[in-house]
Amino acid sequence: MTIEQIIMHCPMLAIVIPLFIAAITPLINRVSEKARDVIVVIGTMLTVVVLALMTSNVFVGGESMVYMMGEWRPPLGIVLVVDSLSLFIALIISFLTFFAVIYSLGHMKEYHGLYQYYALMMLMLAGMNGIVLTGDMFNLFVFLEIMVIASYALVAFTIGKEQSEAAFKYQVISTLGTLGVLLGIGFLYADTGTLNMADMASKISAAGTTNLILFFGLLLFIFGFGMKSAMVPMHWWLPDAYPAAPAPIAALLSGAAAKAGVYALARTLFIIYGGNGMAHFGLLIVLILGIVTMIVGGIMALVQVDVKRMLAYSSMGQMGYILFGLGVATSLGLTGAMFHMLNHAVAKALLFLCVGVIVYQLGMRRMDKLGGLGKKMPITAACFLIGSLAIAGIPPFNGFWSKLLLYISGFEAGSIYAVGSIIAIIMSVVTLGYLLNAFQKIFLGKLPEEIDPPKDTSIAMMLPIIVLAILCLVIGLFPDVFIHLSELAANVLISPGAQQSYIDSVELWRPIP
Amino acid sequence: MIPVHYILAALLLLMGIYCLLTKRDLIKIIIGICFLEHAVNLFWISLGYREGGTAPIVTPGEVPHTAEWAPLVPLVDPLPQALILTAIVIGLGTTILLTAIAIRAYQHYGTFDINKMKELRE
Repeated sequence: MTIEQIIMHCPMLAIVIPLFIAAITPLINRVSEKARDVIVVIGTMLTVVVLALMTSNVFVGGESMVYMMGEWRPPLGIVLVVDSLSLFIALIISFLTFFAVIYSLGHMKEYHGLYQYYALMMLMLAGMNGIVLTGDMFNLFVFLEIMVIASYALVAFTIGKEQSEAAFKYQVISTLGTLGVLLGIGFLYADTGTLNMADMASKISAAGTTNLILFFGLLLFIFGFGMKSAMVPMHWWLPDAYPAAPAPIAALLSGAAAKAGVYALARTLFIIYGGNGMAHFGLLIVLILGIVTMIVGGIMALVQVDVKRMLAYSSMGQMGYILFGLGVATSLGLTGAMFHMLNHAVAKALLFLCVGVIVYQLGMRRMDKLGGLGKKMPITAACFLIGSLAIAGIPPFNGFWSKLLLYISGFEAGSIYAVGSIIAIIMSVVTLGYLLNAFQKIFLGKLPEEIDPPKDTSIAMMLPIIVLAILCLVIGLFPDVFIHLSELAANVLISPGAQQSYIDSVELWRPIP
Repeated sequence: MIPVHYILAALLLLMGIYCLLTKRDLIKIIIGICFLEHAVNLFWISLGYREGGTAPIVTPGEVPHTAEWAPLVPLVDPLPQALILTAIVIGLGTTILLTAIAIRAYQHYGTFDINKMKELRE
């Protein structure tokens, strides 16, 4: 088999490898627990490699790869479509899962039944990769369910008092969201008679703006995917679910799963509804809710005493920035949103993992009971500081550039968008405020007497943290190449004729008239 | 005229939402979720329904058809049925997991009443 033939099958492999690893993990566990860990690490690494193999074709060559499942032609069969946007987000997701798995080797080693934990994690990876790579609407729903069901079980994994309550709440609200998506797909199917995204897009373009069925479908999609991406009226599962989950899972939920939700929202608004005037209304809703999310997330984060809960609200605030960029819907705004997705994934995962070290060492998360850990855990403290500055958008760290792009895009677009930019700048100061406050409370000051002096911990936990911190700095110092990649991803959504080129790339089969 | 099954689906949906909004018992909330799932499933199945339709199996001689095999009698749309089979299985998994978590919550709190679960409220 030549390398070209392997690359041809890569879109499918990116989903099948984690699914396969998820299936064999419990079996390998019976032979040896060491082997299980090795298999899981190799599996995630392979997923990253498989995605990286496609970069030359997609990013450099600029083509979008279409993989027909079972050789069925598009509107009939399921297709996987890999363009710059899909690949960009899939790479973020897979890299982050790789780090989370390595971190889990250290963080979770005291728990029993870890084969379930790793199997669920792989299942979640398969679901997230499936969401971003698929070109079929019902397929997207199935992958969405795979992702969320795995994440329910992962949030509940250490099933204590808090976890059982948080997981129940998370699951009830999340099920509402996914049912909304299913109902929305039903509306679209009723009107267009197809499930293929490209086919839907071409039919919805021709449908006209007064079609009520499509309009309700749009609202349901914003509701359902907004639930996944922590948009404001549907956000209240998040500050319970993130703190209850183990640290690597919280990092994954915030860094990767929420990104998959934003991806699905962007795909729906810009490609499926792209040729229809209704999309403008949808984008306006996303813009306004994004700004509100930004404000609510920032202000609620200020008053938290639980550090993980604070980070959960902070995630919400940053998702608000991304939704704001989506709502501005200019080339610059979307580039900023894509770049901020990357930066937020890296920096917020870093913060969650740093807090995970503290929870692992001390078993407590209340900031008012902590203090003076900086001398005992210098690496964790330094990395937490880097993550905080990156999230708040202080140069030379990565968050600065993406936030700058978002502000400029808002001011360029004028009127309500400029107001959004001003709010974003204010909330950025608030972000810096609560993160530095947390840093000061946890790492500076006097060490309370009842705390055993802890130290930085095992290599498996420190390595991902250090690598992510270095990434924050590297992206901040050399932003050009990453901005270029974000621009490529944004071009899939917004450049002139983007929707038509997506439809053309799928090469729909039409029966002879 | 709107067929009766759409009205039924909407009614089930409203009942489910009402249940979620007013009930404070974990088991009743799970029942509400089931209502919602079945409402959506019923809606989907209704999409594929055709008045007097038969199963979409076209064999020579049995179903009247044109020269290009386009059938002359109404056939039900099989795609929603296939999709909803998937959705039912997913719904089953969701319900089982939800029930399992509810049982664990009961073991911790000794009650199904969410007003008495105060771990997450500060």
